[in-house]
Amino acid sequence: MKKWILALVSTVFFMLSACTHLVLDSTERLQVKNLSDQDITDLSVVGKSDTIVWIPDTVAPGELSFVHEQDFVGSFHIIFKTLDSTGAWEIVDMGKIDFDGGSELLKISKKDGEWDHEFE
Amino acid sequence: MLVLSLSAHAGHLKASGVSAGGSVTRDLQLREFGMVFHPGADGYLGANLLYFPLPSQSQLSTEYGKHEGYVLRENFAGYFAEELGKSGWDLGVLWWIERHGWDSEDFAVFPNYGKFSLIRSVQTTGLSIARPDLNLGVAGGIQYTNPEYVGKVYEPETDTLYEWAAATWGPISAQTSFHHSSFRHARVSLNLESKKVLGGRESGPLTYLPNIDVAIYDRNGDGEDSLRLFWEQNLIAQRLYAEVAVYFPDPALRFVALKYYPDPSKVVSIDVTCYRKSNGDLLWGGGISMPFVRVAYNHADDIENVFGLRGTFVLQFHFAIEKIRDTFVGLNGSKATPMMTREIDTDDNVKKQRREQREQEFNESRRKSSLQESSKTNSPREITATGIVLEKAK
Repeated sequence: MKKWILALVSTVFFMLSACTHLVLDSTERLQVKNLSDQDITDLSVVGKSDTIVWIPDTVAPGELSFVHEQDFVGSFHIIFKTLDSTGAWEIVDMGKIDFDGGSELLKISKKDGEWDHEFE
Repeated sequence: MLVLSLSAHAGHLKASGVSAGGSVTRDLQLREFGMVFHPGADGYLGANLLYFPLPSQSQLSTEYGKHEGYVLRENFAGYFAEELGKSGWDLGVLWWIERHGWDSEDFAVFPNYGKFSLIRSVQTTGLSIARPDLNLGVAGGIQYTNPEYVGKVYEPETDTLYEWAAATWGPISAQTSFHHSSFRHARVSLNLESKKVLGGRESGPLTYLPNIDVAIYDRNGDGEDSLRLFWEQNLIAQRLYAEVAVYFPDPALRFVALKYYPDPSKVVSIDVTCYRKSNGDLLWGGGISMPFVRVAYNHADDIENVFGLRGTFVLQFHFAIEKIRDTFVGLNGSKATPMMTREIDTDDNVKKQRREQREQEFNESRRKSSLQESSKTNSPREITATGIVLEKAK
């Protein structure tokens, strides 16, 4: 009886430990598509004392960035820089964004002066 | 479905909680050894594998946001003591080892060592000498913390060696630990409850005396001590216990627990706990422990011992058994396990006596059968067969 329980528990454990990372990626491979009419660069994750640049590429309107892999799976505060009409770099705060892990395409657009984002 | 619905309200853990995990584990290992170390104890084996199956329940909050990942905690404890010849002194060795951490992938042996991971192992080892006849024991040894990987969001850690010493005399036991010359903790335990397994009473008012554990910590090495008071109280016939933990200097009740042990050996338990957060909110939880399996949700012991992780469902491989003289008992139990009878004798005199008895019985039976055989060979043998029918062929 006890051996049976031990076998069951170990089976359940090994099933869980072996399988979940096949379903849930532990890193995020992110690519940005710029659907606005302004250049975008330095998409970053903001910390309290420190900011990590995730996508350093400058993405022209309608263009795609390279794919950059980072250990960000969860919910994170994202900002990026954009070139405004006066030719100065301006910081845009996108708030908290959920990343589920794996390969994701983040489409950034500007509608009626408001920045918006969407995953594909 | 229950698990999924609970996960919606799940809390998470903080980087500071994971950083503090090393000192919590060091303390837990010495506390557990203090429970095990009785003059006359022959050994203890403990193994735990805590598994938090849902990444949404073990989210790590760092300065960047909330990271999804896994918490694992696995530990093993062994203590063996044996009498040194006929001297009356017991010499024992102990080894407690724990590996725990947070990782972006779930792991049993090989972590992913992601950018925000922390994986660490903590070991406690040492020697003990005891005089069971005087109910006296002394132990000492080292503790070693080995951070395998510390992400940049945590406080930096290095390999550290600590020294510890413990002594026990009757119901009183004390222990202390040091790092170099700086004091880390001191603990005094009064185990006043009378326990059958330690040669005390089986029932009566003496079994209702409390077990009190007071410890002073200097966790940060900054001279600011904190004090932990733990009170275990037998409520009904060593089957229902209440536990209370209080922390000072912020006089905060940390948790209360009600534990029901169907048997006083404390191998099986059903717990209800209430953990009080520093802001006053109460977290209710509970769990069921059986030999080899433990299932718990939001249990105060898990919140305290696993990085302050709360709102989580834990599936655990769990084993803890102690041998005191000729009996087996669960950790901190008060009576021998019911599955044990008095069949196992470790006393050499009793063993010898039984062996002689068995040999005598064997010789007698052989003599008897040989006598029968000799009597048979002298007289003519007669065989009667029944059930055999001879038929003529047609």
